[in-house]
Amino acid sequence: MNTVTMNTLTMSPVIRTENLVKKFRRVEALNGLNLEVPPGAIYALVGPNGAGKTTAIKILMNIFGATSGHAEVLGMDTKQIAGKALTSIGYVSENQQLPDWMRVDAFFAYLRPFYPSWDRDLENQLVRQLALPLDRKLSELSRGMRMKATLASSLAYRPRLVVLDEPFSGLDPLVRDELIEGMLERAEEATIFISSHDLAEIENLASHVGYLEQGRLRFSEEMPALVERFREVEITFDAAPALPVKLPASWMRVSSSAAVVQFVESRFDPERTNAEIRNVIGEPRCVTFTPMSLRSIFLAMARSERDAA
Amino acid sequence: MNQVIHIFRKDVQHWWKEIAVSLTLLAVYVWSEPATWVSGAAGLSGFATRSSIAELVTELLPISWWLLVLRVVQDEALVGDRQFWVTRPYEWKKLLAAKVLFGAAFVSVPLLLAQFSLLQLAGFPPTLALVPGILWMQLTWALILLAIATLATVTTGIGQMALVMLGVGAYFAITNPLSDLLPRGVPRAERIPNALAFAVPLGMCATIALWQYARRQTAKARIALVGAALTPFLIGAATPHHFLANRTYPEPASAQLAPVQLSFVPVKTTTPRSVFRQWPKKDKKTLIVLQPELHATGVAAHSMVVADGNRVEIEGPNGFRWDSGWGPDRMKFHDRAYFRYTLMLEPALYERIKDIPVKLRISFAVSNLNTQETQDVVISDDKFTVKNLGLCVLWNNNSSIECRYALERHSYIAATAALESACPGVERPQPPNNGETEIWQLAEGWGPAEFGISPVHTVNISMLYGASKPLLCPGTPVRFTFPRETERARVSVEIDGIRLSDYRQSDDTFFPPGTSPTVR
Repeated sequence: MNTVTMNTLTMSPVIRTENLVKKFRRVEALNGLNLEVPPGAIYALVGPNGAGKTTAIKILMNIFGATSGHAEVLGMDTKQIAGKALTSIGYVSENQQLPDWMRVDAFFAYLRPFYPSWDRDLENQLVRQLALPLDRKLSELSRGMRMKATLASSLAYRPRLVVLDEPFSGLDPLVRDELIEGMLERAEEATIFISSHDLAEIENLASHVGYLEQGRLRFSEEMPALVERFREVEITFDAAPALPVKLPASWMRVSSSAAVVQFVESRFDPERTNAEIRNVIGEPRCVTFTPMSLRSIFLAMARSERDAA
Repeated sequence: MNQVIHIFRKDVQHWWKEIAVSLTLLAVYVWSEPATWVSGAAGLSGFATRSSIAELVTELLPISWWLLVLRVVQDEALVGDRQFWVTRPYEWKKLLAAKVLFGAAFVSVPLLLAQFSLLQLAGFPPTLALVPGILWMQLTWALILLAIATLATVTTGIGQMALVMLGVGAYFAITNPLSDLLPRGVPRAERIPNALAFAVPLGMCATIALWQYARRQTAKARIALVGAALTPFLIGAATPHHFLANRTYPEPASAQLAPVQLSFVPVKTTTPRSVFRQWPKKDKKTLIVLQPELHATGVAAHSMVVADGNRVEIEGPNGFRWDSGWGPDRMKFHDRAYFRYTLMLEPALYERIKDIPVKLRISFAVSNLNTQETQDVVISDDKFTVKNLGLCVLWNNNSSIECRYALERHSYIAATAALESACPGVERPQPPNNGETEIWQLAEGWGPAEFGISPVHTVNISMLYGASKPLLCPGTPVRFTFPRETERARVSVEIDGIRLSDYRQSDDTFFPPGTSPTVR
């Protein structure tokens, strides 16, 4: 019985939201967000500016309250996330206000007693790894250094969940790599939830990805499955084909020029996609399927949504 | 480590300079304040300088406390969504406790020590009897700092807080004249609503601060604070002034049982007869002053009858009726004495009824005080002790005595006569007009201590004969009386068929209200 219970617990999502809505007066920042983050995932929440990523994170961290809907983190209603509950959660944000008057070592010393699980060895290791200057005041640190100090202070107590809100924006590649390295080393023992514009970095990092737009989650899936189902398709015909008015819903950003038709297939399966091309347009002379980067997928999605609007 | 102590230590580490400045100011205050007690300043070097420093520090010290409270509350700012601490395992109750501990450690306890030091320096060694008063003073400052702390919980920094303080200043500048428009009532009958006018907004402040720490809902907290600021008005507007005055000052069963009986003296006013003063410019433009003459009798021996409030009603033909409502007053009724009651009317109202015979009813809410407890003192060159008034000394070219007392001043009457004055050059009037001079003050305080930083206060009792002749010299006997309230009652005088224009004062001068009586 115990084993079953344990398994059930371990398998329950670390983050779960149901119909989460957040309104700022008349502006609807989140519009029925349904999200599940499995344990052990590195989940990347991506989306254009104003999509609601930061709002979602702030609700998860109980910095904001939701207008309606329900959210849970580590099995706990987010409204209850305060005090001791935060000993299991690390939070790093691009624009956090830190106690600037403290030196880095004093900052760590101040935070230590708040966390029963604070690991001094891990702290020292992170300080070395991230090359943090312990004798400098936080106010004297560069933006990248501040992010690293925040990250180290959010990892040293081995949290079960690390939430990062736009951690890479404005950082140089070296600092970015150091941050990612620091994070990945902890990935085995924690679930990581990250919002970012930096799709290239996310691609190398994330196990799961969710695409948020206008407060709604357009998709949420494992990274390999996502990359697998998106393809850039280029079809060459003998003569300029006549495109029907109604095209398959999975074809995005369809364009044609003379005898060439291009689109983004969002439900790629070689056999099914080939058959669909023949059915919808006709027999092609040549078809090429090109795998897409996360950035390309993101752009295709965003542009497609914009075109539809 | 306990989170409360941990946060407290961090705050001390961060704000040690502000703490040092505040404690230094307090030390300077304890050093300089005795120079403001003339009676205690004898022998102090640099008396004037120290006195000036004390005045300056009295202003600076509350500012330093204000800054300390502001800084320490905003170190873990409650406004905004980017503070690092909101995503750390702070427990709000412990955070709040750490801030309260800070306030206690660097405001309350140092203030307490300073107050006991000042009492000791003033010649009032600490005793259990002083504890309630000292605790009252501590509570008063705690409540003031609570209001400041609450403002700090809904602001983000010193700039925003400064703007809020400007807003608070503007609020008082606007509401003070507005409060004059509200009915006022008799203050001594309205202790409960007056206390509520302080307690309710302060209670709301405490609730808002708790709410902010627990929930951090700044917009709602700010709206609630505006509501708290409006509550004194609402309480003032909702206070049943007539009911409270009538209940606190019941009408005696018969006029003879009243502590004083009043009658109208139908003498038309022509010019002021003796005491007069310049008409206040503001009132000169706006109000008409009438001064009908009244006669007071029936004040018992060993009694002092004092008006705490008054009310005027005018009834005229065709159902005309005007009621001033109850308002504050402070006038002593002398037995078998004539005095002029000052009534101020709006010009439009006066013009409407000035030549019509009307019924005028003047009512007083009076306190009757027993004056059997006395102490006769012969003024000496040295310090002398007066019961309830503390340690006294002759001062200011023999024109006054200054007494310093602990925590609160009790009611007193000081009386002497030119006939018995030991001062050279004072003319000796013959009995029965002995040239008697009397000064009196009733205790007005709310609690067991007066407001202030210092628990030591002074009262200056000035006694002159004529315009400027000092009466108080070594050897002059002074009788101090300590009145104790025995009864409250409502007394009225009704004047039928009076023509108000017969009692109008000239445009330039009039008798001050509650003036010394003219004895016929």
